[in-house]
Formats: sequence, C-alpha cells, structure tokens
Amino acid sequence: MPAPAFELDRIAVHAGSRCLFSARQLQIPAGSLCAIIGPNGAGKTTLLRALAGFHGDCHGHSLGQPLRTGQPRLLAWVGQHEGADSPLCVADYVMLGRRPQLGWLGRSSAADQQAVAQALGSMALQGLAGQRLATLSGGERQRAAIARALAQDTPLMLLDEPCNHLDIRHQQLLLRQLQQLAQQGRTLICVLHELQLAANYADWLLLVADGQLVAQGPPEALLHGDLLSQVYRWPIHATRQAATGHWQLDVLGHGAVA
Amino acid sequence: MSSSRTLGILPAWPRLPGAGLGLATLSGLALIWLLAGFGAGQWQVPDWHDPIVRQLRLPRIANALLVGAALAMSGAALQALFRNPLADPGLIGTSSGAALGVIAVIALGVGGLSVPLAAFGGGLAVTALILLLNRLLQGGQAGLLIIGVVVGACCGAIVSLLLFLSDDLTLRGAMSWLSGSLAEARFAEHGYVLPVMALGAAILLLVARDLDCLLLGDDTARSLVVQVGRTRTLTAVGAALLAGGAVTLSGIIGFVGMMVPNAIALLGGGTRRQLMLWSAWVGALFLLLIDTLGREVAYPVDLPAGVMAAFAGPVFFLWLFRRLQGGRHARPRL
Repeated sequence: MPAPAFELDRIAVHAGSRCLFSARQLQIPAGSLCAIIGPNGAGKTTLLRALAGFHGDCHGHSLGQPLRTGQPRLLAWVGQHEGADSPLCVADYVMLGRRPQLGWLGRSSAADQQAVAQALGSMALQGLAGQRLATLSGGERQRAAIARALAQDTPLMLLDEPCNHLDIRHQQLLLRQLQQLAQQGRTLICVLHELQLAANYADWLLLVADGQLVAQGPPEALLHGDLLSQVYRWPIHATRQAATGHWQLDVLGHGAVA
Repeated sequence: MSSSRTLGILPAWPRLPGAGLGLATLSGLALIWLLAGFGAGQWQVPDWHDPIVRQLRLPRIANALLVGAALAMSGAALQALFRNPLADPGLIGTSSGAALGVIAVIALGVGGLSVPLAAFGGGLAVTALILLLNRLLQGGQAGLLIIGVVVGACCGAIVSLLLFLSDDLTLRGAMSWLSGSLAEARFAEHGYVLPVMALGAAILLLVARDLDCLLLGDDTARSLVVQVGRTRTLTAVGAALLAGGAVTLSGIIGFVGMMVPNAIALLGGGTRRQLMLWSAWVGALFLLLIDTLGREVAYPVDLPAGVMAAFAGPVFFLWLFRRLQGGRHARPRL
C-alpha cells in the first residue's frame, strides 16, 4: 500500500499574531482526487497553499518523506487565471513545466520535448500548441495549465479553484480528466466551490470552516445533511442514488441555519 | 513542435530558421546603412573614410543602437518583473536614480569617469532602495511598482532642487543632458559602458525563463523551483545596469523602454528571452531612426533624441494599438 500523499500531525498558518488556519491529524491518501470544500473565507486556499509549502508550518510526512519548512516540495501547482496575460504560445507555456529539469542555460532536451508532447496529447491540445495562450478560452487555458503541470511530472498536483469561470460542460470534462489522472496514480488536491462536483468526482474530501479542518474522509462519510447544513449555515440535503452512485445535493428552504 | 502562431510579422526567435533570422539581421543592417547616409539635410552613400562620418556620425549611430537596445531590453525585463506593461526604466525610478547621480556630479563640477560611475551607482542604489523598501513593507508585486514610482518621483524632486540651486552654466549643461541627446558620446565612452551593459544583458537573459514563470504568479513560480526573491533582485540589477549605461551615454530618453517591448509582444509574443532579444534589436533600430529624423527634420537644428522619442513614441504606439485592436490581440500582453 503506497504511503499517503499527506499525513500531518499538525498544520498552522499565521499572519502576524492572527491564526489563519490550524488543524491536527490531516490525511490525504495517495492516488486520490481530493477536494477541499467549505464556505467562503473558510481557509480553503490557505490550506492548499500550506500543503504546497508556500506558507505556514506542516508537521508530518508527504509520500513517506518528512516535511521540512522552506524546502521546495516536489509538486505541480495550478493557480487561478494562470497565463491570462501571457505572451507565450501553448507549447512554450507547457515547456515551463520542465523548468526544474532544465539546466541553467534553460536548453530543453529530447526528453523534455517528449514530455511536453505527451502532456499536450493527454489534454488534447496538440492542435493548439502554436496558439497564443492569451487567445484561448477559459476552458482551453485551464487544460493548458494542467498540461504544464503534467509536463512537470510530479506525483502531487495542487489546483486552486480549477472550475472557476468554466461552464457546466467544461467543469464536467475537466473533472473527468482530473479523475483519470488520479486513476493513473497521481494525487490531485483541488479547492472546489461546487459541492455537487466535489461529491461526484472526488474520492476524498477535506471540509473546512472558520480556519479549521471540520471533517475529512470519503464523500459517503462526510456528505450528510446535518454536517453540511451546519458548516454552510444553510439547509442542505444530500442523497445518493443507489443504482448509479450519483450524489444529489439539494439546497432547501429560504432561511439560514443558526 | 509547431512554431508560434502569431500575426505573422515576427517569427519566434529560437525556432527561427536561418533564413528568417538572416532576413531580420540583413534588413536591420540595411536600415543602419541607409540612415548613416543622412547628413546636412540630404542623403548620400555613406563614405566611411570621411572624418565627419567616422568621428561624429558613427559614434552617434553606435550610441543610438546601444541606448535603444539597452532601454528596450531593460523595459522588457521590468514589464515581466512588475507584471505591468507600463513598467519602464524611466517610470520605476531606475533612470531617475541614474539621472540624480549624474546631475549631482555635474552640480559638483566633477567630470570624466565620475559621470558614468554616478549613473550606474545612482541607478543601482535606487533599485536597491526600492527592493529594500518593498521587503520591509512586504509590498509584494503591486507594492514594488508603487514604491518604484514614489522613489522615482523623489529622485525627480531632488534633481529639480539641484537644478534650482545651480548656476546658469551648470543648469544649461544639465538640462541639455537631461533632454536625452545622443550627440555627445564617443567611442571611448562606449569602451567602459559596453562591458557593464553586456553584464546587465547577460543577467537578464539568464533569468528570462524564470521571469516567464514569475508571470504566472509567485506560487506557480515557486512550484517550478524558481527562487522568486533572487530572480527579482537579479532582474532589477540587470535592468539597472542597462538603464544606467543608457543614461550615461544619452541622458534620459523615455518611452522606448515601454513602447518597444509592448509592440513586440503585440506583434509576435513569445518567451521572455525572445521578447528581450527582439526588443533589443528593434529598440536599437527605432532609436537610430528617430535620432536620424531629429537631426535631419529641422536641419541645422539638432533635436535631441529624448524629445523625438517623446513625440514619436506615443503616436507610434497609439497607431499600433489601434491597428491591432480589431484583431485577436485586443490589448498589450506582458
């Protein structure tokens, strides 16, 4: 059984004297598509950035290796609205994913070119390789960002709200692609706002609220109306269709939960 | 791997087949030869043995090429560093710091090597001050630009104060230098400015790929193992060395550093290294073109290149921007 992607005893993020996020005993299985969910301002992106090692302190292990503060982690990061103003073409942009492997002169090898071609292929972007990034649609740009992350060839991929500004079809397609990547053995951790998407595509959830980790586990362990209603302070009803396994989350009523 | 699909005006530099690169170089050299023939309000085939061409026009041409290349390359780097298409050595205080150093030296009545030293020192000191203040104030990307503008304005105020306190002779010399003239420098000056500029260009070309990563955001850059702080510092130093060299040779010439990289990005796009190299080549030719216009258009009056850039730059940019607005590239990309 592979070592968990993250197995943390303690995680804390401070801004000055203010605590932005803290949690104990956080676990994310390797090879999973993990979604961080929670209401606005709960600390979802703060947690994701802490897992990436960009801020805060994480004590524990990642893929069997002890985590050290300040040490660069072997992971690919996909930020929000990445490349919207970039003058790069898609192929050059995806090649940036090979930056850790390139020498100080930045010359790419045949292996780098092959990795880029594979990443473009897996995101069905070969036809857009020469297109300028800034001219792509939101969905195409998001796929290009994931191709760049794939070219980096790391076991961990962290994505900050990858479905933002995507229509329903592109949301579904993107999450299907992320699911396939997880099935190939990568661990993907993403912040998601859409509970329905998280419920139906993620196989591990981290539910956060008020800068705390409220619950973690597979969707069937977390998705019950009481917990969600309490965290989101709004009546939510979660049901799973027995035949298809599809989750249905209904937002009920007109009044806030106290 | 297919080549960049652009507006088709500029081919991508590293994947450029020999023919394209050769064509760009040859057409540039032809333009230099053509412009070298202008003198005293008329054109004739350049005679390289003519003392006027050899001792006056050639150093001036070299001056224009060096200054144009340095300003445009510096601007291409600063626009990535600040993630702002308006960033320019003149805007963020680098040129103002260099100018302050030179004006202080002129006001003190010291000449010779102290002028370029003061320009490099002023540019570097102001850049270091901007970086230090930004670190102390934890200003991030936006703070860097704001602090740069504020420090640049302070340098401008001190320059004004020094000019106000200067006698008429010093004031006239300083104002002539500040207006950005390419007529003064000689090959001897290029000898000690060129190595510093080359060092600045080398630094920028080395950090160019990291600047591409930095444009995607600090977090993405960190995940690509880019040392964000070191890249910012090296870029600022490289840009300051280039801008300091340009200020030493010509005084302050605005717009070139802002306009040329934006024009290149609009026309062709590409990696930061491609944009820097293309900007340097086009910036060099552009400044030579407007300097030639400046000395010929109202002959025998020799209009400073800084004044010509201030007139030609915005008009050219507006024309380019307007022309491309209907296409796919509706606004300048960084």
